[in-house]
Amino acid sequence: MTLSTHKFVFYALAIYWILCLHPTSSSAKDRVIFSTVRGFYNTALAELAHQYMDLHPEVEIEINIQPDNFSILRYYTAQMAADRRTAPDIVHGNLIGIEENFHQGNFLAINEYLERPNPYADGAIWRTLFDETFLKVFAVNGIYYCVLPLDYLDVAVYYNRDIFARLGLSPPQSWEEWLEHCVFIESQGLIAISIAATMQANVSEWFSTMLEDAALRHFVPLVIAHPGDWNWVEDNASYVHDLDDRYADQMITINPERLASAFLEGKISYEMPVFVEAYSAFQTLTRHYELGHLGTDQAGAYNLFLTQKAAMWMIGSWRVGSLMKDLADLPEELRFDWSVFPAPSIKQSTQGLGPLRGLGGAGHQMCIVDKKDPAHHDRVVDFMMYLYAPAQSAYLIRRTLEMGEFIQGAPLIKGAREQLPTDIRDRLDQFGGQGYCKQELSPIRGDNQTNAYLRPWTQLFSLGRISPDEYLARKQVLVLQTLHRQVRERGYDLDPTTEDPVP
Amino acid sequence: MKWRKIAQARRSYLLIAPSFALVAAFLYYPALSGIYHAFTRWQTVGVSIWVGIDNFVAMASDPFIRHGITNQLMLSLADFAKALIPPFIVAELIYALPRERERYWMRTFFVLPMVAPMMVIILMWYFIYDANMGLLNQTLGALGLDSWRQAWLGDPDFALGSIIAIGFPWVGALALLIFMAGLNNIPGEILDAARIDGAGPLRRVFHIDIPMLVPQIRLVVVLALIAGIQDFGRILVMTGGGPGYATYVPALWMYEQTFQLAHFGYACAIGLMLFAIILSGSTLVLRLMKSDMDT
Repeated sequence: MTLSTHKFVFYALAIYWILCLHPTSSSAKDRVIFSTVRGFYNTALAELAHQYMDLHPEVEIEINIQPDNFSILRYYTAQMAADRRTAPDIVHGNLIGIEENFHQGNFLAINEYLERPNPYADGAIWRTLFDETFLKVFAVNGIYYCVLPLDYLDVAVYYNRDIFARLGLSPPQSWEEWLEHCVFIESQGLIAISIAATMQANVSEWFSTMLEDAALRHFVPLVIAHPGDWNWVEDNASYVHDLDDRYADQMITINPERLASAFLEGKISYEMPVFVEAYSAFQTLTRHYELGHLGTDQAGAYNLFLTQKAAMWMIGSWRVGSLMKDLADLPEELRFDWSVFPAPSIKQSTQGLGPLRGLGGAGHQMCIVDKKDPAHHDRVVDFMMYLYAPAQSAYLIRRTLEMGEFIQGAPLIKGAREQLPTDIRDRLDQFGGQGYCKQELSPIRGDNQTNAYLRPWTQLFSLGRISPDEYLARKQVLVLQTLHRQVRERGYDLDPTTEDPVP
Repeated sequence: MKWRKIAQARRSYLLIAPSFALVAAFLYYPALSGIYHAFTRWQTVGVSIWVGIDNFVAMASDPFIRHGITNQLMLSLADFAKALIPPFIVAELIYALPRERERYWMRTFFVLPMVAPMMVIILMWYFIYDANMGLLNQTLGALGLDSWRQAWLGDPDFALGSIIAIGFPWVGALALLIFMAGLNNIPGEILDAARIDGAGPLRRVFHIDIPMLVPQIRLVVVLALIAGIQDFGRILVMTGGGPGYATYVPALWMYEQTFQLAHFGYACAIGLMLFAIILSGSTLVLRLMKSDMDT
């Protein structure tokens, strides 16, 4: 061996030794990965992570920021497929799919942890720091909690108050009046509603979800968990079937096996007249979207509203901050006054469709990934307790606004809301108050596979290329296929009194 | 003797070994793993179960694959035409210029756009096609052709055509350079002989240039075939596969099966199918276009 070969081997070994050193030093720390999306809370979150690490030097918190919603899903999916130990510990459940992940054993049930004192909140029981309603709303089958809600958001129709005033319009009080407004606005050469309805971001589906919720509420007595059912809760005993009461079914649990049976036995079918009426109303509304809405992304829809080409824009509370900032950046003569109104209800329903409800919920529905390591779970939960303590949550909001970043909605941790500046709080307060769609009533909620197969049909339907009857027949077939698959994959024996383990 | 030769060149082998290891780890291993997993059900948390040809059977009744193959066929045919015809015509025109200086500047002019990243060009076209604020509809409106305004990306009847039209006038720099190189390599004696025999420019193109450029045409066709099937980025950005099934292609569905639905086994099966199509397509092109120069 020549001298240069000796040198080569020496350097190679030295590099190998240095590479070996790094993982050894970092693996001594318990590593917690918090995966989130760019643009919201990022700076404050990183600072809080550092503050936590100062308190707990034995822990390493990694704030993993993904560029957009789809990237989070891609990152999580790829990591979980390879090895769950390397996957993120804390993820946005609402961007990934809560129900399916819970049923696949990917998310941790945090019931026990919620009953423990939070050491970062003067020992208050952790559960008491949350709004109980939201914990229940996000529970899977009513009894398993895997979602930690951070901030409240809802969707609404933004409207240009200046255009409305010029045309002598006021926010519509009914679906029918809304359609009349749309026709009038279009007759004045304006776009009535700007909306994103691409494959990746189909905001238009929010309307169909609300209308479908109004139809599905008819069947609550059929699918509510009865006494003796495995997921019956006491709230179910006080349920009164009142279609006009937006909150009647809020706290009740739906038995998924009763729901599956009702569809499989034909007691509920998307081809029933109540669904036809709901979807016909939806299709009528889509005629008032901008030209080419199926090719318009969220930025495109926003631009139409911002440039006053469209009088209305459908989106959620998370755009309040950016709209306020962008309007302030515009020259004085291009600014306009705006407000929001909720999707109005159908007043002359032939099938008794009740009032439409909001899609409200938490923007950040954080879930803890089950890594089958209880000691590690304790550490992850401890960090979440730190983050979800009133002082830290308030810091999160305050610092985020200081940095010029956006928040998604009003904070849900008690004591943190007061940190919002008055102008933003006033705007955010306009959202909500319409109740929440009961998502458990949908047999395909959170089922990405079914929704992927349904989406092309939904697009063609919203374009008027297929009739409500054709669309709903197609949806019914897909729903039945989904239910057969769920029965197989979730191990349902269709007996509502027994809880069935995942095979 | 053989081992002795290897020992003599040990330093070279040692230096090239990391490259081999990386290529094996990051190119060949995933590809081979993909072939294996095409026959498995692999959905999250690292567990894959052997299911034989189930994934391929499922593909037969998958509407995304059915519509995707039809769309892909149309896209590929258009890609062939776009990759061959405009660059060839421009190459001939440049070649016909009398002065070398003019040829140099014209070649540079057409090759320069190559430096623009493809994603920038796609996004530029995305804005051109915007139904309400895009250049195309604004121009049509300004010309009084309001009835011609369309939802270029939002209408199933126009979406695929709009994607095909991206990059107009489709003078691909790479294909242009390949054709230019081929034309420059045609021996001067052949061209002189043709001229003496009275062959005009068109006759020269069809009877000399095209037959002499068969290896280049073959290369361009194979590259267009591979790129056309593999590249779903333009569709993902422009339409996401919609409206309806109008612009779905199998590669996009493979991507969605992987990263949105976590059906890795099924996605691998789609990938294997695409690999088979590209391999057989390339082989077919190479055989059909075998020229005398290959023998």
